[in-house]
Amino acid sequence: MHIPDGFLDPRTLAGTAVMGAGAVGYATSRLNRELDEGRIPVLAAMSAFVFAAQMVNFPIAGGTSGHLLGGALLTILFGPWAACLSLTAVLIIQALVFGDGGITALGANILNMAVLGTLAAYLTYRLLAGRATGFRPVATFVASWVSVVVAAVAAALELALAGTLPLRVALPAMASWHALIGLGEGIITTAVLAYLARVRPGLLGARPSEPAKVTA
Amino acid sequence: MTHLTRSRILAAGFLAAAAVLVNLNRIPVLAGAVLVLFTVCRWRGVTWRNLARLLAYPLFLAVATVAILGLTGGPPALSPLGSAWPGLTLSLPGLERGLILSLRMVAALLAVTLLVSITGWRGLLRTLRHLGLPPILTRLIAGIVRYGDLAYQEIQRMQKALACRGFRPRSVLHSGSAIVLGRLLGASLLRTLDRGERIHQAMVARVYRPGTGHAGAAAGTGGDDAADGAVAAGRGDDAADGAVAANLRSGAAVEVRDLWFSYPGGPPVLKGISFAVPRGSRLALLGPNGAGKSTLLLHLNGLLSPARGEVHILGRRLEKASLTWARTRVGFVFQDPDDQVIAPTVREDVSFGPLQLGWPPARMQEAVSRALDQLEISQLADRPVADLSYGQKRLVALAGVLAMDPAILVLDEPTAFLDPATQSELLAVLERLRQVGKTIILATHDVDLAAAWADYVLLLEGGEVLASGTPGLLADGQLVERARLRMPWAVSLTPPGRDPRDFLDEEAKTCTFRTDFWTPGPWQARR
Repeated sequence: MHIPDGFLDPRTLAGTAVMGAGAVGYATSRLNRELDEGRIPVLAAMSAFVFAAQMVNFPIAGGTSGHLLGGALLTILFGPWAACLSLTAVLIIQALVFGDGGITALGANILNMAVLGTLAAYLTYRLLAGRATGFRPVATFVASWVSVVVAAVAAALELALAGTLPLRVALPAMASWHALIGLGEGIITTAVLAYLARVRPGLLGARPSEPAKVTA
Repeated sequence: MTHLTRSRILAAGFLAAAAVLVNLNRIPVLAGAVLVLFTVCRWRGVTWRNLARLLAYPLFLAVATVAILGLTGGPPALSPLGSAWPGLTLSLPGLERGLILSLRMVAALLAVTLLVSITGWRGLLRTLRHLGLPPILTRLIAGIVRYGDLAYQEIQRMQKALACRGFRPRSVLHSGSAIVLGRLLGASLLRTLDRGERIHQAMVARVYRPGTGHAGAAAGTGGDDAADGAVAAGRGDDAADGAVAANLRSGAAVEVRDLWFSYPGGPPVLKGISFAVPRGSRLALLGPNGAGKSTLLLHLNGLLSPARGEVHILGRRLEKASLTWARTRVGFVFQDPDDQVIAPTVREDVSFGPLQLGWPPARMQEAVSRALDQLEISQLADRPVADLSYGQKRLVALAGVLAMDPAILVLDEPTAFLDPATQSELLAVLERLRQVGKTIILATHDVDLAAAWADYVLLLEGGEVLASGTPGLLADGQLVERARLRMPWAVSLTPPGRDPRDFLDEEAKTCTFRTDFWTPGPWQARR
């Protein structure tokens, strides 16, 4: 759901850019406080993983295929700030190198996916699972679904604000389509965490500030 | 014009152009802009193929946009299918609006492509950095650039392996497919996570100081300079007499005393290891998988610390205070060069160590050039790391370690996965390094390499030292069987009546080191 260039008017572009930059700045300061700077290489590797994972297509229904966004996955594993920054890095690369999502619209895309999406996932997960560690399938599924839908709704609102599409068209279209995609995200994220819970249970509940157990 | 000024001008220009494009509202103007941009892109050498790839999805999006807006955008005016589907009406203003949006999108995409073709996307990232992108984001982006492709290739290989076992992906709504996909991505996540840990380890081995990074030269961090100076004076690199290890204590480059180690919550992996490596000598650490070779080596520069026992480097005990000093004296080359070579270009990676140590730029450049020359890879200096072959990355990893001019080199399975020619090149390099007095320790399972190259051999099995001494001990059948190795081929060439042990020792000592395993050596010549 990357918004391309030319779909938003300057006012919306500027507004979302400011909000996106501000949110990322806040996430940066929070992460710098939490994360031992020496652990950044681990987070950088994780960003590379999300980038690669987003390129893996899986069939959904009919001829359509989808891919993992990864926001909820990162949030549940590493916390909202790490997830926000990782996704921001991925979005920047995608815009600059692959033309995936406009450059002028980068602020909007970052706001939708890296900020609002991960925030929604975090809040939902906290709401449903509290501070418990360990695998929580229902919370995981719902949080993943919510992250996708919230990002889509935000994009629809921006398109409407910019006058590109009327809200009565944009909102139902984006929301319904991404409700379906959200199912895929929920299923995959839950499947991945189920696997991790079996293979390396210590990971769920660790943070990048703590070294994950490396098998000898 | 400095980089910073150029970046600012470029950014301002681009923003201005973007503002204009995004506001264009007239179809002919937009269409003209698209045509012009397209032509300029082609003129600048962007291939049809790349353009097609870039525009494929946007064109699909354009059609969708035109359709949606056409259907909903205003008073119905056209009935394209006439009586066949009278309900299907399109509105002209809607179609027009859809077309405008699509043209804007394509124009912007072409403009970005043009920009990237001028500056290169690395240049764009530099611009972003200059414009105030937080350093942590720069590092995450660098991580994606360096490892994103690698991670994706790993996933693809796993997918192929799955296909070989008959897996055909069905809709993710089927639980079977979902589970497999979860495992695929989960396994890839763990591999990447572990790689991140190893990268961190390799950075620490090169004296990683968070905050220095690549963003300009660090202000000289005082720290261990006093210790450095003292050691530099005594370092001298006296070419030791490796064969006569009389008083090892004072002459030892590395000494390990009764080392015990276990990973958290696990059984002891190293049990009472003791040995000494004379200065200037070549030690081969042999043993089966899981014997503890890598674990032992990681103690030699303090990446792991023993539960019991001591490690002495150049006569100085390894402890918290001496860790940084030790890491400048002991250069560690990891098994997987992708864990070690992290920077975008060769030059940047080789200068990582000196940068962490806070060396002034002149000294740093000199060290980098010297290291690249020593390995004869100066021509690779400005190449992006991602373009290098596996063997080349190995050499770059070694160069990165040499840039700090260590007295002792530790290499973990340096010849693994290398083709014979590259192996020979690597060994030639090691020989050159030995001749300037460096002590070299390598871990391997290649008994032939150990026999032909090493002055001393240490056999490790189950975390214990099985045997140590000259390579001749590899002629002991029972010993090598216990160690799950085999005798070197050269043993079979022992002339009748000679003790194979002596024969092996003698050949190892007397044969001039062969950098080219194909030319007949004294062994083959004797047939």
